[in-house]
Amino acid sequence: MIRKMIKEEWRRNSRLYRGRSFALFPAVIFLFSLGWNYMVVNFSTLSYPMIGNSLAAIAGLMGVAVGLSGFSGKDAFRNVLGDTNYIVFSSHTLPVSKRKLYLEFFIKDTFFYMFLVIIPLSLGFLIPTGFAILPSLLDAAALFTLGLMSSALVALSSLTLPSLNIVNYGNIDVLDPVADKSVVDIFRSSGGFLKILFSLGVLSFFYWVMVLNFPLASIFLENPLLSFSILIGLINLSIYNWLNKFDSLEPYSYIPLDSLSIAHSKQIAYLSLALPVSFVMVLASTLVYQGHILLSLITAASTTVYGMAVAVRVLGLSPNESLFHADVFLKYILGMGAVTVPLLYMSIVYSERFLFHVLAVCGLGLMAGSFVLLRTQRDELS
Amino acid sequence: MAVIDVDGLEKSFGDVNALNGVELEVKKGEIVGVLGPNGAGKSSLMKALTGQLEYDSGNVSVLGRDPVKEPVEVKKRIGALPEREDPPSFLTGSEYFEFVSDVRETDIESDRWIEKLNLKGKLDKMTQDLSKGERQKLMISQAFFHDPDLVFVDEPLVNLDPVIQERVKELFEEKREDGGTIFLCTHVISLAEELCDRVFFLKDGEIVEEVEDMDNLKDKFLDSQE
Repeated sequence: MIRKMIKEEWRRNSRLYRGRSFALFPAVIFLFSLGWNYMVVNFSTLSYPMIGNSLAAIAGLMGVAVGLSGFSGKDAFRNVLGDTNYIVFSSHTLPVSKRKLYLEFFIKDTFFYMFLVIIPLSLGFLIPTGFAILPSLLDAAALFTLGLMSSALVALSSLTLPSLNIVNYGNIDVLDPVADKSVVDIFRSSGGFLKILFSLGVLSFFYWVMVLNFPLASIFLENPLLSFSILIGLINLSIYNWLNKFDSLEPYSYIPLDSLSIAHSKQIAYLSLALPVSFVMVLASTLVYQGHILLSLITAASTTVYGMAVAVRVLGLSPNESLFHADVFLKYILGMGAVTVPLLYMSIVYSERFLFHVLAVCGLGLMAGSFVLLRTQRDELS
Repeated sequence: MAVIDVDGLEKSFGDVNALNGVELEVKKGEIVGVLGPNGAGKSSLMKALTGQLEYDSGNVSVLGRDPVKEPVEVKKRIGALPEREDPPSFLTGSEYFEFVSDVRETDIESDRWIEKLNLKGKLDKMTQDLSKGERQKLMISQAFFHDPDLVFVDEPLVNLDPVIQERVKELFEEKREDGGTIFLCTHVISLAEELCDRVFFLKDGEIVEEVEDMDNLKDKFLDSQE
């Protein structure tokens, strides 16, 4: 049964992330981990025990994420892949006990994600540290298993997340039915709004750690708050991804809506979530380091809006799938880079004389974003 | 007056000709069925007529409009019950009604549908937690509540209990009595026999026969498929 479950898991993921790209996933994790830890070892003030602890913490978080997605993430997969069913639910139709199936499912997940994520991640930690953090591997494996077990138990117990009841269709009133529905989808799907905060939080955390612990970063980043506000515009793509994860054009095909109006609704939903979240993240960052708050808020807003325009134009309404196409990915990176690279440069070499330059690029970014959106609309209409 | 007029409709998916020169006409105030085996093209035909699928060639008019050129206008005026579609998973039943009302800019008489389709106590649950039959009831409600002149229904009775099946059939007949039109795609011959004024037999994307006399419909259908 476990072998069949592993095969099923592989097929599910490779269908979700398009075969070959998924096979490269452990390599990407390894390279990312290796690069990051090379920088940590050579340029940060973090000690080896702290590096070892961070590996264990990441492994624990991965366990939680895997446990939640394995069971309660079925909703997202169903909406992306169509009707799906898994071997773990075979007890509904076949003479096999639920307990046995869940145990095997748990063992399968542990092995599958150990090989897929934890081992390449750990190798990326071990090599730059000269295997000095080898004892932390045991902690990492234990925390991964614990995280997976506890989150799977929570998911199986069908506990209702508080966020399910916070947002209701009709009382969020962002003026547009599909936008309302998209926001409700995020709040009521597995993980609720926490998944947004989690995805933004993890990347923000890495940035904060870097700024606080890398002496080199303080040399390069003259205005870390401003740099962070630009980064936020890039990271906000995850919100656009989530807004498009639970539906496609198909579910709207029988009611009087066209793709253009649906795309417009997604933009409203995106802005209503991304702008406040960006502002909160920028303000939270002021607790970690100082900077020009108003300028950073303006920059975060303009890169968020510009990022939306590029995402709509390049990735359309299926960003999760589109990003795995190398040519689309390249277009997206180049499109985003056109505004964020000059901004990042100015944030790195920042001085007061750049204030108006930054504002000018923000303004240009907003104008370019509006132009891209109008062009997209025109192309769609024609 | 023809509410649906189709001439030479063709649609291919790669090498497969899903619709192969379909010609048909549907008049106001009738229930018209399309019967065909699996893969005959019933769902593709319905999608093409409801503006969900762009066809390759031919002329199609639904309530006087081209569903490819004016899909939103056509969808505003019709109701549609697709074969494989559920209400959005994370909305409750009542929120789904509200959502469709907002999109259609029409009020819904929820009580009418709760009573008619026995939805009492179900509208407060997220639709993903409802049974397949209960989700189908929501889908039927959304196709009819704005009182459209023309309703497309694809396998409408699937997953419904016998009592509700009868009520849905009554709903179709009421619509016809009020001068509305039902376009029914199904492979349930007895349903077509019971409800339809006329039936088209579809085979390999082509209309192979049009039948007005519903007697021995099963034999006629089987003969048409040989």
